[in-house]
Amino acid sequence: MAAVSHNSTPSASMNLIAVGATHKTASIEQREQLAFSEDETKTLLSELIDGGLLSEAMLVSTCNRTELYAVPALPEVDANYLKDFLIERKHARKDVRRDHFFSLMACGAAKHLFEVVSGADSMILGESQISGQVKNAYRIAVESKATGALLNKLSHAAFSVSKRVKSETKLSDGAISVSYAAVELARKIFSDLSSKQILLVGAGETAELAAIHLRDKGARRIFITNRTAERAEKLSRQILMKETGGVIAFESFKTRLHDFDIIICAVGDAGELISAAELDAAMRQRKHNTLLLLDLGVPRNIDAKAATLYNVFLKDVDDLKLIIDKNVELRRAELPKVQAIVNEELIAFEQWHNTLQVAPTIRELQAKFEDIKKLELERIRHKVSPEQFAMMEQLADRILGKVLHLPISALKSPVDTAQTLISKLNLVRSIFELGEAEK
Amino acid sequence: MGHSLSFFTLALPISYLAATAAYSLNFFSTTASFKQLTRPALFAVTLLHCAYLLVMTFHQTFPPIASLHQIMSMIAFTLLTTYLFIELTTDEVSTGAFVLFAAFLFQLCSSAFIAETQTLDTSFKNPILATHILAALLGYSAIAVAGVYSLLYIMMLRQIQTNKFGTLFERLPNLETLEQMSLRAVGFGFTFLTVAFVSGAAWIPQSDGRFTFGDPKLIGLIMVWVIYGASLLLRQRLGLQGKRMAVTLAAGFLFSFLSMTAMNFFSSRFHAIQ
Repeated sequence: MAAVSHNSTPSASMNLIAVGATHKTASIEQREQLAFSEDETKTLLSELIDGGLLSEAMLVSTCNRTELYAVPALPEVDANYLKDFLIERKHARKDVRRDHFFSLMACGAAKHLFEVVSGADSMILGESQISGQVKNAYRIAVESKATGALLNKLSHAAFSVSKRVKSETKLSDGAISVSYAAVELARKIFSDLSSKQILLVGAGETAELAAIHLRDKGARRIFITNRTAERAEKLSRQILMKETGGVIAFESFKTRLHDFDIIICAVGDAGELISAAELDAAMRQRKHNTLLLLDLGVPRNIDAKAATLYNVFLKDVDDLKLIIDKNVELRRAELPKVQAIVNEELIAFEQWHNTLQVAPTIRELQAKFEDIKKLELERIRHKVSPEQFAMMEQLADRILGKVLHLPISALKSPVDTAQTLISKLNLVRSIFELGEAEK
Repeated sequence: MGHSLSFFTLALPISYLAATAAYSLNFFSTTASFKQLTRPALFAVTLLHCAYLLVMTFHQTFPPIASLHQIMSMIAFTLLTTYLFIELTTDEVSTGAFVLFAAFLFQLCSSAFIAETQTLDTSFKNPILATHILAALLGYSAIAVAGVYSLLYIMMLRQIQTNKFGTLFERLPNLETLEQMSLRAVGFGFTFLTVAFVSGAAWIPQSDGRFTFGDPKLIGLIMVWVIYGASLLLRQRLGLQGKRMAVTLAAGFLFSFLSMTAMNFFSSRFHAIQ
């Protein structure tokens, strides 16, 4: 396989620029100022394309990044021009400067998009939302008629990277949020969450995420209790647990502790809500069947002494953080596999791009030989019978096909660098006297 | 027959090793594709061992349990059968390496030290005695497997309780499944121990006074049967579960192992197996 140069200097061939502000280059305040809504993105793309500045463009705007992938139509449109354009467009000159952006060219830009879409460049390593966000960015660009051959191919290659990373690596495996780690731990204790009775104490953001993860992992009997009953009702509706779960009045939930196999407490600034004595009584009532207590509240909502009760598992935020740390470590260990996939797809993309460059030369070569063939056949047209002429024409076609096969194959074969490709093109054009290459 | 025996002597330990390797790769490796190797490897070794048993039974006109080497191979087979039962009923493949490695060791000992000319005790032609031996081997193998699962349960429990989330935490099935696997093995073992107990008692009158109801092995069998029967009853009636159940089953396995060792030490005969 041919090696690919990943530097950020412009290759002699690929006219692609990527500029952007990400969690690695800019603060959240700066990223907020550069965020584009869908409508704003469409307007921006139309302005860039219709204004003749770019021939292709795609803008990826999420909470962690705003990145513009562009194929310039004018020589003066470079990375700095695009950075300034984005800053001015968002009136962010006061807080955002050029050095809050990265800029990458050609294969460097393509490689960056592959890393972004795979989750390897994400703030939370391996998070899977980004592939959907890039797909959405591509959809907007297509709807705005801002994509052409290069960005279409680049985007599809990026989606292929995302798919391969998901199926061939474990970059997105394991919980890396407290609420998800809580659910993962529950699955290491219980075999089937759908048969377990679950109580969620609290209806805030953490409780909501835990409820969603539980539902996604098959839990069906989720009951919610909260000081504000309306919020509990709303969360219950959101996770669609009206039939098998429901809402329990906050004043009376302690009388039903024994009914539950998993109790998740996520009430901020409430302090202790459930004592060890209450849990001891509940355990006696449930004949010491396994009980998992997940205390996601800070300060903690469950008496720590409950951990000493038989068949009770009590885990707080610090315990779950240990699972998260381990999973992050495991995800980092997957990065070499991701890089290998990115490099493979990058080589394929660059080779596809090279074939675009050799296509005019191949067409010219075929045309030139076709002209020679016609000229020579024309000389003997009247010296032979029509049947003989047809046979000679077929013979000439076959010979031409075989003669041209070698230079065409050589042109299409992989190359190490863009310079090698240009040398090869020049050699073929020189040998066959094809004249100046098309722009 | 000589060629067949040579083939099985070589092929059986190799197939056990291959199956153990497939399950070990699935357990320790992060590559998901190894999982696809496990069940075909398990079925292959099961079929091969079944073929060996059929050939031997046909050849010597009774099951191959008439010498120490045949017994060791039969222990490998009963461990395999118990594991197969558990895997098929729980659809959980991550623990196979632990059981199959033990089975491999038994088969390796059997194949490596197999005697060219074996002295076979023809009393095993008696179908009741053969049933007794086979059922006892299956029963003891199953409680050994239950002991392994109970130990895995305790190790997993400890990792969760102490927040040391290591390889076992990542790769082993959840606690509830481990407990279920352990109980399946106990249920399987208890059933066969019952059969062994009944067939043993039925055979004693036909043994021409060679064995009595006071035979240490039979007493040991009854004690193990009572322990496991009581464990199952306690679970059903008093809800014995979790760590206490695992400790009980692991202790039961330890007791079985020690009682067998002691009985062998004090008894001059092991049911006439030479």
